[in-house]
Amino acid sequence: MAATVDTVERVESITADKYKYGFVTDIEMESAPIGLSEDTVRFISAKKEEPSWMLEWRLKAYRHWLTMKEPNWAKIGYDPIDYQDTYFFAAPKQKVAPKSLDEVDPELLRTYEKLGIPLKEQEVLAGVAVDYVFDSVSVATTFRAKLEEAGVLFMPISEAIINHPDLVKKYMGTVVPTSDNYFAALNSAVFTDGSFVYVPKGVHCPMELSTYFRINAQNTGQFERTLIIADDDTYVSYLEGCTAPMRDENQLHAAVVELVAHENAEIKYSTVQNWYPGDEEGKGGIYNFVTKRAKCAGANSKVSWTQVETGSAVTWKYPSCILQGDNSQGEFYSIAITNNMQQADTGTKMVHIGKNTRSRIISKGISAGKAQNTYRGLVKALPRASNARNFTQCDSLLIGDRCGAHTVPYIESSNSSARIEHEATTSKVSEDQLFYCRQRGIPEEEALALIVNGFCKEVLQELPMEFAVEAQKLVAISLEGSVG
Amino acid sequence: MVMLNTKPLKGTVQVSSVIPAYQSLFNGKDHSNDPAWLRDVRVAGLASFANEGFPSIRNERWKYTNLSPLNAGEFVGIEPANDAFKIGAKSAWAQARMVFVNGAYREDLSDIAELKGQVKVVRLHHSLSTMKDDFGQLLDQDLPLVGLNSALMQDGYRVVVADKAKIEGVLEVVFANSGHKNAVFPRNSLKLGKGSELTLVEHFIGQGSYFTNSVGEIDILEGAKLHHYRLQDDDISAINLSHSFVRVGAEALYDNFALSTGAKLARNEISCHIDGEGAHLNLLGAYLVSDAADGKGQTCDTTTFIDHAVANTTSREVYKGVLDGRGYGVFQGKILVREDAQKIEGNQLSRALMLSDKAEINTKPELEIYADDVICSHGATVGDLDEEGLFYLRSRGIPKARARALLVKSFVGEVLDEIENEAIREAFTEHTANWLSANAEG
Repeated sequence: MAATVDTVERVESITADKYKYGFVTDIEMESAPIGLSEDTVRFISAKKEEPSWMLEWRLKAYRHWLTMKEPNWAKIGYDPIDYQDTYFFAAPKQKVAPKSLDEVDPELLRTYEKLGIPLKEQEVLAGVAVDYVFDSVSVATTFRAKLEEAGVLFMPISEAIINHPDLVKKYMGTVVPTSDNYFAALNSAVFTDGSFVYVPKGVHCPMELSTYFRINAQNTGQFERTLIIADDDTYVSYLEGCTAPMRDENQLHAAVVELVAHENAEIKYSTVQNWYPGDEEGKGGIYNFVTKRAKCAGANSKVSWTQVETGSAVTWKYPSCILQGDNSQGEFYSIAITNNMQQADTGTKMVHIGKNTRSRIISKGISAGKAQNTYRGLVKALPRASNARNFTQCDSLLIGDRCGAHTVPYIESSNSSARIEHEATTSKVSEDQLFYCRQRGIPEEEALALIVNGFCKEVLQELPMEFAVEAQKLVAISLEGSVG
Repeated sequence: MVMLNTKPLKGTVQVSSVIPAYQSLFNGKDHSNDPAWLRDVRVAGLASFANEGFPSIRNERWKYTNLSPLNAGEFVGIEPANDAFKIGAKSAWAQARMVFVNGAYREDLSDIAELKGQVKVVRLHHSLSTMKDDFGQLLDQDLPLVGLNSALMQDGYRVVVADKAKIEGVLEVVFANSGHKNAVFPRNSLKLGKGSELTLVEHFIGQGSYFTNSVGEIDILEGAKLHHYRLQDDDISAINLSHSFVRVGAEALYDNFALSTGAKLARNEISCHIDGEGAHLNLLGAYLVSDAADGKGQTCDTTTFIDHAVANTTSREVYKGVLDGRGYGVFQGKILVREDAQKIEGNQLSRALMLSDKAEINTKPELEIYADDVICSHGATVGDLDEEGLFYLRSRGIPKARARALLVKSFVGEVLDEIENEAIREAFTEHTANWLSANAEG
C-alpha cells in the first residue's frame, strides 16, 4: 500500500478516536480518609503491610514536606491544590491476590480490552511483560516466570519492599532524596505503588518491560514510585504508557522515578503520556508533577530518556541524568505537545561529573490553541568533567497566534575542556509545506499532523516499536482542532 | 529624615547593615534644591532598594552573579576627585569629551566644543529641574539597583539630538573613579530626535576599589540611529553595575557594542523595548576576564532583555567571552515576542572560550514567544580552543603559545569586526590585543 494512503487512512481512524480512553470503570474502592496527615501516611503504610523502616522513611519525608513550599518558578499557572481535599490512597477491592489472569476481576480485564491491550493477546504476541497499575495497586503481573528465569526482578514496588528489603533500602532515595523537592517529598510520604526492576550482573533483559498506568478513582492522587537498578554489564528497556478517563476535577499526579545504572549498564526508559488534558476551556485535566532522575553511577553506563508528552493540563517534568561514572552517557529525547489550555514546563538536566561524559538533548515542543509550552534545561560540567561533551537542540513549533513557546536553557561549565553546544529555534509551520500537502488533496488538519510528525521524527524513531505507532497517533489526536 | 520599612521580600536574604548605610548616605545629602517630584522619585527609589537590598543569588535575575562583596563592603565613601589618578588626553577617535571624576563633572577635562551639529550636551545635574516629563520614563524603578541610583544620583550626561540632526564626530564620555570603597551613581539620559544620528562612547576607567552603580535612559525616536559603544576598563578591584534602558522607535536603529575587560565584579545590563515597526537592534560585545586583584576571579555578567512589543522588528545579538585564570563569565539573554507582534526575527549567539581550568561560565539564553509568525533562534557554545585549528597552525611551524594567541584573537575578532565605526573598531581591537598579550598568552 502506498505510504500516503496508509497515512490518510490512519489519520482518518484518529479523527474518530478523539479521546477513546475517556471512560470510567466502576469498581468498588477502598480509600484512605480524605486529606493528608501523619495518619494518612500510617494508613497507607499499614494497608501495604509495610515493615516499620518503610513507615519511618515515609514519616521523615512527610515531616520534611511540611517545611517545604510548593515551587513557583515554572512557567505554569494553576489553582492552588488543596491537599486536604485529596484522596491519597485508593485500591481496587480484592480479597485475595490473583495468581493468574482468571482470578482477576473481569471488570478490570474489560478495562484493558477497551484500552486495546488484552492481556492474553499481549502475552503471546508482543512478548511484553506488563505490570498493570490500576489506581495505585498492581493487580496483575505477567511473564514473571520468564523474567525470573533470567534472574530479572520485575514486580510492584510494594512487593519488593517486603520481599527484597535490602535492595530497596540500598537504592531508594539515593537518586531522588526524600527532601529533593516539594513533590518528591510528597511522593516519598504517600506513594502507593509503582514498579521495581532489578537486573542482576551480566543479564540482558530478555524482553521490554512495560507498565500501563491508569488513574481511575475520582479525586485520587496517583503517586507512583518506580525504581530501576541495572547492575554491571546489563541492558534493560522500560516502557511507561499512560491514559486516563475523562473527568472534571483536577487530579494531582506526583510520581518519582529513580534509575541506577552501574558499570557498562544501559537503561532505556520510554514514556508516552496521554492523560486527560482538560476540555477546550481548560476545565479539568491532570496535574502532572513528576521527578525523574537517573544516576549513571558506573563507568561506561548509559541512560536514555524518551518521552512523548501529549496529555495533562499541567506538566512539570525534568527527566535528568547524573553522569557520575567516567565515559557515561545521558540522552534525552522529548516531544511535548500542548493544545487548547494545556501548559507544559518540561526539559532535562545533564550533570557531567565524570571524565569523558557525553550527553545529547533533542527536544521538540509544539504549541497550539492557547497553550504554553516551555523547555527548561540545565547542562552542567563540573570541574572534574574533563572532555565532557554536550549537544542540545530544542526546536519549538507554534500553531496559531494565541499560544506561547518558551525556551530556558541553563548552561554552566567549570571545565575548560568541556564542550557544550546549544541550539534553539522557534518558528511556525511552514506555509509552503502546508500548501504542498493541500495541493495533493490532503485536508488541512491531516496535513498538519503529517508535518508535525515530520518535525518530531528524530524523537519518534527513538521509541520502541510498540510505542512508535501509538505515539504518532497521539501527536495527531493532540492537535485536533488547532487549525481552521 | 526618611524612615523606611525594610521588610524582606520573598526569595531574598535580608542583610541588615548595608541598607541603613545607604539610607544614612541619603539622609546626609542636601536635597533642598531638588524639585518636589524629584524628591518623590528619590524617596521611592530608596524604598525599592530598602525592600530587597542588593539582590541575592536566590533572585532569578541574579542567579549567577553574587553581590555579597557589596553587602560585606559598605561602599558608601564619597571622596572628591583623586588627583593622583591622571586622566589622559582625549582619545584620538573622539571629537568631544565629557569627563566625570568620582561622579562629579570636570569642566577642566571636558571639551564639547568640537561636536558639530544640532546637539545639546550638558550635565544632567543642570537640567534635572526641567526634566520632569523626561526623567525615569523608560526604567523600572522597582529594581533595587535602579532605586538606589535614583535615590543617590547626582550627575551624568544629558544629550539631546535635534530632529534630523546627523552629528559628525564621536562623543566620548569618561567615567573615571578612584579611592577606597567609594560609591558613585551616574545617571545618564540620551534622546535622539526623529531621523537623527549619533555616535557615543562610554569609557569607564579608574584606580582602586570603588563601586559604580550606573543607570541610563536612551530614547531613540522614529528613524533615528544610535551607535553606542562601551569600553569598561575599570580597575580590577572595582565593582561596576550598569543598567541601560532603551526605547527604540519605528524604523530606528540601536547599535550597541560593549567591550569589557575591567572590574572585579561587573554587570552590564541592557533592557530594550522595541516600540515601533521596522526597528532594528544590534547588541554585540566581547568580554575578557582573568584573575582579579584579590587573587579570586573577575566576574563579568552580560544580561540583556529584548522586548519585541510590535510587529516587523528585528534583533541580533552576538557576545563572545574569553575566560582565563579564575575568570567567571555570565551571559543571560532574554528575547520576548509579544502577542500579535508578528514577522519578528530575533537571533542570538553566545560563545565562550575557556582558556583555564579554573575559569567558569554560566549561560542562560531565553526565548519567550507569544506570536507564531516569527523566526527566533539562539545558540550557545562553551569550550576550549579548537584542537584541529591549533594543530593546523603548529604543523606549519607556529609555536604553541603564538598559535593559541592567534586563535583567541580571531575568536574575538569575529565580533570586533562588526563595529561599524572604523576608528573605534581599531581602538577596541587594540585594547583586546593588549589584554590578550598581558593575560592569555604564554
